Amino acid sequence: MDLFPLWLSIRVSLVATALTLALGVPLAWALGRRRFAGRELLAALVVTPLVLPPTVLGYYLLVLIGAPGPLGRLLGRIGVELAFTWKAAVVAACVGSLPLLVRAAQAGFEGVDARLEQAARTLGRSEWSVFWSVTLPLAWRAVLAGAVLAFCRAFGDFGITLMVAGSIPGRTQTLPLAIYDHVQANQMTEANTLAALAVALVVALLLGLGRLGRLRY
Amino acid sequence: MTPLLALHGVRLRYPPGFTLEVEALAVRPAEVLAVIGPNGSGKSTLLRVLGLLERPEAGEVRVGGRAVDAREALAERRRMATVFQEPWLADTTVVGNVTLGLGFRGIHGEVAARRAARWLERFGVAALAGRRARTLSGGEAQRVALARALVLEPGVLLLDEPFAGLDQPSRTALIADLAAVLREDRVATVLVTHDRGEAQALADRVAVLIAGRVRQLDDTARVFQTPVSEEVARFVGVETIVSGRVLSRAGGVTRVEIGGRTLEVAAAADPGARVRLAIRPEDVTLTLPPEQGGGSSARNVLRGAIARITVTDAGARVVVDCGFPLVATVTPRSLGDLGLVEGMTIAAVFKASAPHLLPGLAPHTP
Repeated sequence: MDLFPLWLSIRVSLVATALTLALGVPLAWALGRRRFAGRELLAALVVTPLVLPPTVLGYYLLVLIGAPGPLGRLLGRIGVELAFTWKAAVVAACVGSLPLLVRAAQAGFEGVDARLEQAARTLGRSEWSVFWSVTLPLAWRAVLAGAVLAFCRAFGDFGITLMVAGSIPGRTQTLPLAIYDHVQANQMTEANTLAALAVALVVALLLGLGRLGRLRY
Repeated sequence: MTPLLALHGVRLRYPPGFTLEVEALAVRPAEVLAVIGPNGSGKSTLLRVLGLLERPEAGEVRVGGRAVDAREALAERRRMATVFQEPWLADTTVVGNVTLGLGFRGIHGEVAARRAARWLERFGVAALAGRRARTLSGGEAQRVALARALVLEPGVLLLDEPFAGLDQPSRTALIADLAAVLREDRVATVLVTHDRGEAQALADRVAVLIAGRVRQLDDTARVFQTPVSEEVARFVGVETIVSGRVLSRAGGVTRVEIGGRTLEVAAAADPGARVRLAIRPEDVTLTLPPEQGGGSSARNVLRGAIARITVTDAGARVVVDCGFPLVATVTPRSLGDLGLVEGMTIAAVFKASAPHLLPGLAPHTP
């Protein structure tokens, strides 16, 4: 049988998790550690994907990155087409995952004793160095937990992906979409196989991370 | 003389909803400046602003007379060193901790090790160089933290309640050792503390911070002997503050009537004026009442009954009712020798120079 949806979902989720980390960790740090104008508004914006219906999110995202949309036109000019490609699925997964990562990581950063960071500053560490040598080493468990949640959310996304990437078999059809299609076509063996594979993957991931989490820093 | 480090027009809110407002505060070269005040007065916030760890909402921090902007903060911060109440040692060896700050400044290896060894020696902890920081006692850890700060040869040393977490013997020993180091090396230092004894032991000048404002800034002895207000007087250890009326002024002696008694005071005041007298408890001595009564012209001798005796670690605090409550401190020895008990009649004696007249009381007649 065709395992393309599984491989595509893994690839999309991994890339999306990496992007979410790159974007979400600085965001979480800023929200948890800095005072700036518009902080409350930003904090509210970050969590909206959790509360909006996925199709609404997907719709706005499509308006934004579709070929006629403002971002779509800009990307089109440099020869990048996003909508209805696997890259759109990555963007969709990122949007769904970001609030989960940010909330977890922000709580982690807020839990780091600010006096430790201050002690590092008085010894002459730069802000960048304080983050890498003090803040992150003390908050990494929370960031990791956030990343796991982000990966699982990305892996399971249905609504946003369907709106912006479609469900093109062999191109943009991720595992959740493929299962839906198989069920619709009454291909229960295929649906069962993909569903069981999804469960196995997530359980293996959580078990592996459970071990990692017990490691002493 | 250009100050090394100064605050100008600094304003900053600090939790829970107080405001620090410092018009001007300057650290002079080679001096030890103590900032004292009760808990919540904004002392630590003030030190964080001086140390470029927190930016004021208004005003500026000047280094060598020039305002520091955000981009220069790191470079300027590297010319300072700070020790907090917690030693905040890294989980490595003692010598590893002392060389930590040097490493960030590009000083490594043999040179760093030699400098670290010298400072561990000066703080009497050279023998601990190889120990893990987490195995140290509180006093040892704070000695290592001070060595780690001073090894950087900072332009300004900032100390935030560095002795507050220590037991009494470690504290006394460390204050003496630090005083010796600061006297010898003339490191400009700002010491933040709620303990006036630490300020007296270490500081050349004292700033009294109450509710976010500097109420008095002067040489240490002057702040303790001539506080500018009742709040400052209370904080620097004056226990007796009483109001009275000036009867006369003659031959350098002001006679003041308080609670039906007449006191002789060296400070000048106009006859008829209402004044407040501040008397430090250690300036009052207690003796058995003289048979003939009265004392010499230079001294005040007040007879009164002992209202209360509170035993402290340094002796006892005795409240004598001589028309007004007068507080004296006595040593444990005098407590026994005089056989002091509550209710007995005693003579409280103090010099005419002991009472300080607090300014700021509007002259009025009752």
